[in-house]
Formats: sequence, structure tokens, C-alpha cells
Amino acid sequence: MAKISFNDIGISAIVTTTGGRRVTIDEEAERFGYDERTLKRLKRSMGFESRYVVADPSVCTSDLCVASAEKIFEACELERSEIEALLLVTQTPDYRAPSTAIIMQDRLGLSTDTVAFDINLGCSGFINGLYTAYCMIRSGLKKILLCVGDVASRFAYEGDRNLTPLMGDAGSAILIEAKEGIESHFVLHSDGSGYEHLIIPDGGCRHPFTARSLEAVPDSDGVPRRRVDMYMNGPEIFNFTIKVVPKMFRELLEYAHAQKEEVDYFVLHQANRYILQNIAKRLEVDASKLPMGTVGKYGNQNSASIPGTINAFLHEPFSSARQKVVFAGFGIGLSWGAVLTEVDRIYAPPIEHYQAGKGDEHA
Amino acid sequence: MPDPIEKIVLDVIAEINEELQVDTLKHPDGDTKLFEALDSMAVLDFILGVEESLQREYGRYIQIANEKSMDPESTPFKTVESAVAFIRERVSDG
Repeated sequence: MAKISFNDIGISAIVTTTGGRRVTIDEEAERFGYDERTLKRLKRSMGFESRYVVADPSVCTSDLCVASAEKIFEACELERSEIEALLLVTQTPDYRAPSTAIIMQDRLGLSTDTVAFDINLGCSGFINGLYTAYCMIRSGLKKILLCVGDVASRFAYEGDRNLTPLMGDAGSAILIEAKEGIESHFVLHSDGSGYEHLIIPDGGCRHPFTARSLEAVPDSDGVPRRRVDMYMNGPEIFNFTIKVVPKMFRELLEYAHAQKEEVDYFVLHQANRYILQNIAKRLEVDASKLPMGTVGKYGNQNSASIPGTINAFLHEPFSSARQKVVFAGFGIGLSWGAVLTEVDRIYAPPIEHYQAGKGDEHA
Repeated sequence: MPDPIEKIVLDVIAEINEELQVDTLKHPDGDTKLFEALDSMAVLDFILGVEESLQREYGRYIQIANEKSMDPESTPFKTVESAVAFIRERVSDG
């Protein structure tokens, strides 16, 4: 049973950098030929306003994460030699091999004594990455840089009118170290029986990339997609979230012997408005304690959506006072997890938008 | 006096259909096919609308979404009548 508690380990800084180009829903409407009614529904029902994607197609996940990490080095008076591990959670690595985290070790000027590796996860990636980093601190390391993010706009087919308007690009860097008096309780789950519901079918060893992988074939709704693009079975993913997410909150609070009233903020993966509202209503939590606006303003940032939400909407409370928080991620895998922890006046500036060259001589 | 649950369902359908403009939903009755007239976004709108109205009517959150909501074969929202019956059951279950 993956329920784990940690003492005296915590987060010191969170920085998120989005892609540098803002695309509005009105621009998407023109591109995908939405009629006025559909556009109105997308704005009202889903809260879609805009998303941020990389302006230059050569900008990769590592570029966004390096920009975020550089800001931590600048602001936190942190010596590069102090970082003992660099973890990157992503589904859009710069190369299929080697691990992008190892390339980032060099770009960030970290010591060659640094442990560095990638973790292939999406929407639950921040929670699993945090858990891995906490385990490494418990094993004796002092300071860890956890990077999470994707250039998600790359894995949705440009003609896919269902998925493309959802995707936002972002990369976050999180500094984790020993912190006296901070308690954290994790619950983590995986269920591979649902792996086909969110999948990029071709390009791995099971279905290697072929010329056929690039053929755009319309699905039963007439939406074209290639086998190298992300496929999402919307109804199944909806069912999955309905089934597991509310249960996970009960499980977490019970495991941590905590009451929902003690929690200052619930920061969830920003997947869909229904599940966020559902959790807010079930927990009888005011919307101000459970932000829901990230996907509408920045797009679905995958593993960066929790830190992205903090930098976008909670930078002031997270920077100024001690907060008890629940973070929860759920999605591709299928994989889901949550942590109840505390943050105490961390470095959490407002969200940044990527500018080529800024802190990134390799972009 | 009209049945409150039926009224909620018909009001939410009318609200959604202001934007959708589906002919079969303009004057719905018990036999009206609901699920097949809605796209997935409209099904979510329907669920959210009904849950919000139930909360106002009964003073508590009653979840009507479940694992069958989006399944064309087993959804409880196939027709207006089946939706009303299912929601009534959920209200009784508390």
C-alpha cells in the first residue's frame, strides 16, 4: 500500500515558466472553424480564454525548466554545487535518449556528482516527483531540484479540435530540502489496465515509428489524428476521475488524521472544471481555497499544472505565510496521487512566460 | 404542483438548449431521448446544472455523475424519464 509519511523535508521554491506565445480561444475558433454558439459554450462552460504555448517550435521542455531553475538560482542565493540531484518529470523529453535531466545537469552548470534522471509521467507527475525527491532527501541528500513539465502542444495533432485547444506548455522547477517541522503524507496509486485511454500509440518499441504513423486518420467523430499524437478517450477519463479522485481525498485525510477544515489550499491538477467543482462541493470548500482557473488561462500544463497554479494564483499566500496544503494529480497511466503537506513562506513568484535567450544560452 | 426533480431536469435542459438549439429538446417529455441529443460537453453541463439546482433545492451536494454517466449503453440519462428516475433515487439515497 503506497501510503508514506515524511518529516522535516519540504519545498523552498517553486517557479513556473510557460511557453512565450498566448493563443486566445477566439483565434482557435477561427482556426478550427467553431461557430459562434460553440465558441460561446467553450467560454462559458469550460472557462476557456487562452493558453500559452512555445512561440518557437525548437523550444523544448528543458528550455522552460532551465529558465525556471535559473530564476531559483538567482533569487535564492543557491550555489549550483549544493544541488545533489536533478529530477525531470516529462513526457516530452528533448530526445528519446538520453535522459533530458542529464543534459540539464550540464546546462545548469551542476556538479558531475549530481544524480540526474527523467521520470515519464504526466498529470500525476508532480506528486510522484515530489515523493521521489523526498525519498532521496530521506536517504541523505541535502538539496534536490525537481523539474516538471511538457511542451504538451507538441503531442496533440494540430487538426485535433478536441485536444489541441486544451494543451498548454510549461516547465516548473521546485527546490526541495530538509525543513524542520514540516510533515508530509502521500497516497499514490497506479492502474495500467487503463493505459489505452490516454496514449501516444506509435514511436515506442511496441509500435515503432513508421510512415503510417504520420497518416492523419479521422476517428468516429471525424476528428483527425496521427498515431504519433496523443489520444484521449474522454468518457473513460471522466469515469476514472469520478471514480478515484474523490475517494483519494477521503483516503488521504484519513491516513494523515487530518480534517479538511485544517487545509488552507487544495491545489489539484487542472484537468476539467467538473472534477474540480465536484471536489470543492464534496469537501464543502470555498472556491477561493481550490483554484480552478489554470486550464482556462494557460491550458492543461500536465505535470506542471499544480506548480503552475501556485505561481499563477497563489504566489502571494505561499510567499507570505505558512500554509497547510493538499496537492493532487491524476491522469495518464492511469496514475493518481496526493500529498498533504505544509509550505512555509517559500519563494513563489508570479508565473513567467518564456523569452528566448533569458537564462538559456542553449535554446 | 409539478414534481421538483422533473422541473429541475426540464429547466436545465431548456437552459442548455438555448445554446445547443436541438429540435428534439425544444419540447421534451418523458420519452425524449436526452443522451443522444447532447455532446460530451453538454452532458457535463447537464450534470453540473442539475447538481447545482439540487443543492439549491435540498441544501446539500448530491452527486449525480457516476461511472455510467458517459456510457451510451448504460447511462442513466438515456431519456428524460430515466434521468428523472435516477436523480430521484440519488436524492433519496442522500
